[in-house]
Amino acid sequence: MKNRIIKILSLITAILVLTMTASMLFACNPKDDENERIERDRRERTESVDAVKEVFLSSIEEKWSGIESVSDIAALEKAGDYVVVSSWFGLIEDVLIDSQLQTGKLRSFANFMQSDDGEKLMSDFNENAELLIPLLKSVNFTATDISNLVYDLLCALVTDSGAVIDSIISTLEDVRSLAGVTADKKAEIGEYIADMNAAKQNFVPTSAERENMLAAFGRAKTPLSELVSFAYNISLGAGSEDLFEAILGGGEGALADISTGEIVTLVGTFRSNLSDLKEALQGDAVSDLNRAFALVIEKFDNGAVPSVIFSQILQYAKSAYMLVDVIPALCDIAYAAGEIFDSEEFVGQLRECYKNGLNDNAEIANLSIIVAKAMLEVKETFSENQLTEIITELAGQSKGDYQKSIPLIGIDLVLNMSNIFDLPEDGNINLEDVLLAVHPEIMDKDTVQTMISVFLMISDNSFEKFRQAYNVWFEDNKTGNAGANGSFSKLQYAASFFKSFKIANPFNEFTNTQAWAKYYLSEGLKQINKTVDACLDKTAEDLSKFINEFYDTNCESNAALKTVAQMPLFSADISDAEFKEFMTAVKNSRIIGIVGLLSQSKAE
Amino acid sequence: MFRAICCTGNVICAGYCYVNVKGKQMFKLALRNMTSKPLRTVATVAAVAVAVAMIFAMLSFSPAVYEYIYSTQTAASGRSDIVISTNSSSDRIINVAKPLYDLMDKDDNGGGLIEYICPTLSLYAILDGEYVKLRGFERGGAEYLQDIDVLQGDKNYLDSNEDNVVVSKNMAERFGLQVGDDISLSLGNRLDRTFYVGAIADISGYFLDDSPFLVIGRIEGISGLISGISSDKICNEIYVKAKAGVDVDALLKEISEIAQYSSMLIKRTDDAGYIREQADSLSAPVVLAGFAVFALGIAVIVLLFMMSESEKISLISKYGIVGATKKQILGIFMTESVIIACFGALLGSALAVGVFVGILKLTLSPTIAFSISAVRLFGSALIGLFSAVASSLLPILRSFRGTIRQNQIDIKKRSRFAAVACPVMIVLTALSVAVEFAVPAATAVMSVVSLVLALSTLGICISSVLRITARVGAKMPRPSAKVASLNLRRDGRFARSVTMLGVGMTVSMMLFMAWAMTKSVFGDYVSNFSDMIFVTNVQSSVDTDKFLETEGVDYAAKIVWKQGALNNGDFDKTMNILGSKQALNLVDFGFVTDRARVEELLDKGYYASDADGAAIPYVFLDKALTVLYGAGVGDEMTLTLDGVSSKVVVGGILDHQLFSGNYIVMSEYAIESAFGVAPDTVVLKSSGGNISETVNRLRENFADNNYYVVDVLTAYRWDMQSTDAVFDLVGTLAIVVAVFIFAVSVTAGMVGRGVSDKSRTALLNAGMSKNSLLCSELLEHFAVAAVSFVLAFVASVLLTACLIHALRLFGLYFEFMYEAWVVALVGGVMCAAYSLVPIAFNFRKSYNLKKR
Repeated sequence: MKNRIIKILSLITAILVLTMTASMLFACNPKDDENERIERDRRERTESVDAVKEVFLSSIEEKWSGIESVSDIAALEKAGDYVVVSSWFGLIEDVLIDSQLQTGKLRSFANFMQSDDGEKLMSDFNENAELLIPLLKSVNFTATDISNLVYDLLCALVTDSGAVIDSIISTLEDVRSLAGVTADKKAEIGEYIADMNAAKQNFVPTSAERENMLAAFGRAKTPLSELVSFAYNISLGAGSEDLFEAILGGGEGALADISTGEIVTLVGTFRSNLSDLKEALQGDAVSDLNRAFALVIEKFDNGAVPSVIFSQILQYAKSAYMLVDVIPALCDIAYAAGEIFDSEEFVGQLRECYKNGLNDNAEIANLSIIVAKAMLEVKETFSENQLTEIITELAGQSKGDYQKSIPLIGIDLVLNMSNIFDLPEDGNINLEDVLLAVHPEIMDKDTVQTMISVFLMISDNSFEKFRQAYNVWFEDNKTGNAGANGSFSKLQYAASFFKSFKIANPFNEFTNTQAWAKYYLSEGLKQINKTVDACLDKTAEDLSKFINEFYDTNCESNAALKTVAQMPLFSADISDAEFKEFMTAVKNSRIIGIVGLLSQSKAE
Repeated sequence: MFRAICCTGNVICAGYCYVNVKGKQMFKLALRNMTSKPLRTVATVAAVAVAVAMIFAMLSFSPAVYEYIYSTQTAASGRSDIVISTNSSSDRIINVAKPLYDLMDKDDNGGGLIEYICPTLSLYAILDGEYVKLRGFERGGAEYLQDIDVLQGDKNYLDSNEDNVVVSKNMAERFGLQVGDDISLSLGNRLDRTFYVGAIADISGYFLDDSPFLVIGRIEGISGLISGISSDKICNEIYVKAKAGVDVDALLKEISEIAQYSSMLIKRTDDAGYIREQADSLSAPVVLAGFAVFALGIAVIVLLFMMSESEKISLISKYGIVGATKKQILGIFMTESVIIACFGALLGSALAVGVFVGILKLTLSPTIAFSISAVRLFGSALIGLFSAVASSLLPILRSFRGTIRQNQIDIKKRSRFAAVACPVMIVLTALSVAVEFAVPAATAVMSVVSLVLALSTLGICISSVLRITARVGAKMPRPSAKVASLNLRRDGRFARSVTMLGVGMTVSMMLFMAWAMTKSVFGDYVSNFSDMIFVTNVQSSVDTDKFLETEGVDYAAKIVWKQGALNNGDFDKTMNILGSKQALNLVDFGFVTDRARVEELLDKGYYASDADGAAIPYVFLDKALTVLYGAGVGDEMTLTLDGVSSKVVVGGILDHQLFSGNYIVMSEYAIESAFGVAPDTVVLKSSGGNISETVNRLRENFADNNYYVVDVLTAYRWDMQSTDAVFDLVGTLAIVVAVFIFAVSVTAGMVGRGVSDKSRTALLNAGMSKNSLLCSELLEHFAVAAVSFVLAFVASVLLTACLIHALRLFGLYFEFMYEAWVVALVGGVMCAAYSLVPIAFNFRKSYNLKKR
């Protein structure tokens, strides 16, 4: 019996030992598992981004996909273009692989790009780079993704642009030296190499510049992220459209069953986002951003970036640069104005009015009442001095760079638009009437004209277009094809906007086109800045006058604003005659321009 | 002659020992006694250890279940004190209002009242056709309420991007997810979002409540599913943690006064009373059965010590011969007993903690830190120790009663205890049972008495039944049967074995019955709802006719489906409120009060006004409350719902197993008027066809409305999944106890068998064949097993009835139920296994013709 028990115990012990040994032998080292996972992850990321690159390249030229060797490149018709575009995309590729984007997202991105919808979107993007945002939205890139990518791409542009150009030159050299390449092709590639060498001088930052820019980016990273996230969320637009529909659109869309209280909550979130953005742009944040943007624009905004993606990012940077000074103030004002929507009663009234739909007249009339109420809220929140100080500060910050003047000029133009309301409808418009400001003693016609010219120049990106036209003409001119390709006439057309600034160019556009164009690019720019600076003082004075009238209880516009704000909302259609009568009252309140702008945004 | 030489030799040895019996020699002698029968000593120590472990397990069961229920019920709220949440009559989304932030800074001394505010956004989204619960936190706020224990990945990914999420390992297994995988979650047809698995977490913290599967993310990412707007300012629940020392109820009151939250539900997150009720109701059957286990544990110790009774008596007589005093004899055996008992208690304590906590980790949760009560552990060890020492005194006291000669030749006076005790116990048990069944007011209390008496009766009388059976067996012609019969009657070890096995089998059957009962009473009524669908997340103004337009839906009723506290002074229970007259059409109630009368009063809604002019709503209760607490028509009580209390009056009595009788039916108008609570659920009935298809159609048709549509069986399956773990625990404990009892019985039998080696040798020498001897032992074991099985089976019927009656002490009322197959299976397996012990342990091999 005893022996039996000993045998049983021995057997159990042996089984336990064997089991534990087996477990030890077959158990994986967790650290090896993790390393393997990282390796696998990296492979997948590389494969996904490579797939996107193939789609991108083939969307430009079908023959550009599947290129694997130097001889493949040499066989291409536009070998130089291929090398340049492919190498720049390689920089973007590296940024994507090393980014914090989830591998799954890159995989989804690649899958989408390889689908029919994705290929179409990519080819549309190549024609219109402003489709970058919709492209990224379609693959569920979040605001955080975009802000991180923008930062990473800018840093990569600064740190690695030199290496990219070197790589381009090296590849081009390999192609040129390949046996069997024709002389013409060699010459063509030679030109590319020369261009790249020139770009290296002009485009690639020195190590001091690099350090400077990276330091500026580092300081601006947080406010940049906030700004990019906010802009991306706003540009996504879906939520705001649905919200707008729910309040004013008569009950359609995904928020159709939303309650009034919930709308107030959602509007409150918009306002909170504004507040957060403003908080992020406190202290040195604005100056850090300004500095970072200025450095990037100064270095890279010379048409030398042959990548449509980087070019588009630079465009966004320029737009942000224009607005960054005014954003904190705008946030405050928009937040204050939004106070009217923090009332379930008012939102309920709005919904009631729009329940059964209204004609355009009634909608515009209601919009006017809303704007008037919003402006009164702003008046409650800010004192006259505070608003005036904001204007003065912005005017000071905008001097020396015409691009930064756009917010003030735009606001002033909008406020002055009230006069346009009285213009004849038969189309016989007298230009003098268009240029008539509300305060002609401050804003003479020349100043108004200048403001309009600046506004149009910036909104149309005229200067950049002129620069690009010049680059094209320059290339065509080298080969003697400027006339044949029409690049000279395009250059002339692009330069037409300089006339509105009355810049006297000493060079002849026909006989000395290059000098003529370069004069515009350098001296012309200086003169524009000088003209705008002079205009800015008057703009600031005009805006201060508007603010003064806004707070002056004896002023007709103040009374008119109050009258409009106190009007009941329209819940039924109104006739043209009634509309005209209503808008006459609105005209005196100076808010027609704002109403028109908002009305147009809604229509779009 | 040979015997005389041996006795003389023993006397000489004892004499030698006596010379040295002083002080520490006593210890050496005790040690020698223990080492002379090592197997018996080990078996005794093991039995004491097992008994201590079983006692500890039973004492700790209810607190462990409470800890588990508490952890799962508070999984969502974690460390917070107060929650502000939306309901059917409020807005569905809110944000943190400035006045709430102000409370972080305000109090009389200038410090704040609130430590932190944690807004969350919770939605039900669809993943691969299944509902999952999506829960978003602010950036950096995911661990405000609970820690997230990550198994794979990195929880910091939650903060690095708003579309990163953390899922549980169960969900990862279910959907085959790994870190980095993407999941597409949709809300209806219009809005869907892709999220990425940043980490896979252990089943702890938030994930203790993982039914349906929980996905933790960021509000900013999740909010896009509501409206397309990404913002971290939207939420639908706000958790508030009060600063230390702050009066939480006062803070709750202050928050209630904030205008933005006037229509919201604001309550404390730690409803300890409700959790205690839930835990008690789940653990009640086992707690009651635990008393039997407790008694069994002690009985096992006593019986094991009685195994060596004869030898001890003989040895004591030898000590007496050589002149040892009673005091010295007592000293030696007390020393031995204390050593064995101490080892047993210590081993039992270690075993108790290890085995019990191991079982808890395996069945309830591997991640909850179950607390081990030192008091209960010490108490269990002390009980085991005391029982062991006390049991060891019995043979000593018996030997002191007999003469040395009597003790020497082991003359046993047949004990008259059983002869007297048996009939007395039977009569007492019968009386107790009679009172239990005949006097309703005493049923609950007497059931416990009956339980104890019945088990005691079984324990006392079972050996007598074995002897009677043996006598019957003696009439069989086969020699092996006659031998077996004789042994069964003469050898005291069979009496001990049948007592141990019989009582043990009965207790095991009771535990398995408790398991079967717990599972069925908490789940049986659900099958009545197989054709019903819940639609929640509805506004109270929803038009139910819209649902009837969906194919497959025959009936729709808006109902308040909530929990409230009902109090009448005698009891304070959490009740499930079915707030609609339509509830009578949804559930097949029995009507103690006439149905027409019930419908009439439901239509009326209110009783005539009381003295203050306030109308008092009618409520309709289950007859369980009548049985348990004597509640009757016309009784006034207080019902508290969502923080509002109102007097109510009992309008009628219904009969259904629903929620084990803990439900109230009321009119929705009365509820809205008295408590300000509007209907929050639409219940649909779907007759014929596939209910899943109807559910899918409803989800499609109402995709934009963010309704939560689920068939009732699925909803309750989720609800039950957290309590299933408790059922598993009960079942596991039942199995463990059964195995232990069986093992102890077998071991005791094997040890006791060692004493009768000589008689078997003698039989073989007398010409009995080995096969015949084996057959005899088989018959012995079979007789013990069979008698145990039959008596245990019969006793289990009575004991089950007593158990069900005893549940009334916990406020639980059930009709009598008995799962005969469970009992038969348990008993049958134990019976068969015990019968086969001689073959399993190859008794035949140990048969020797000559003594070694």
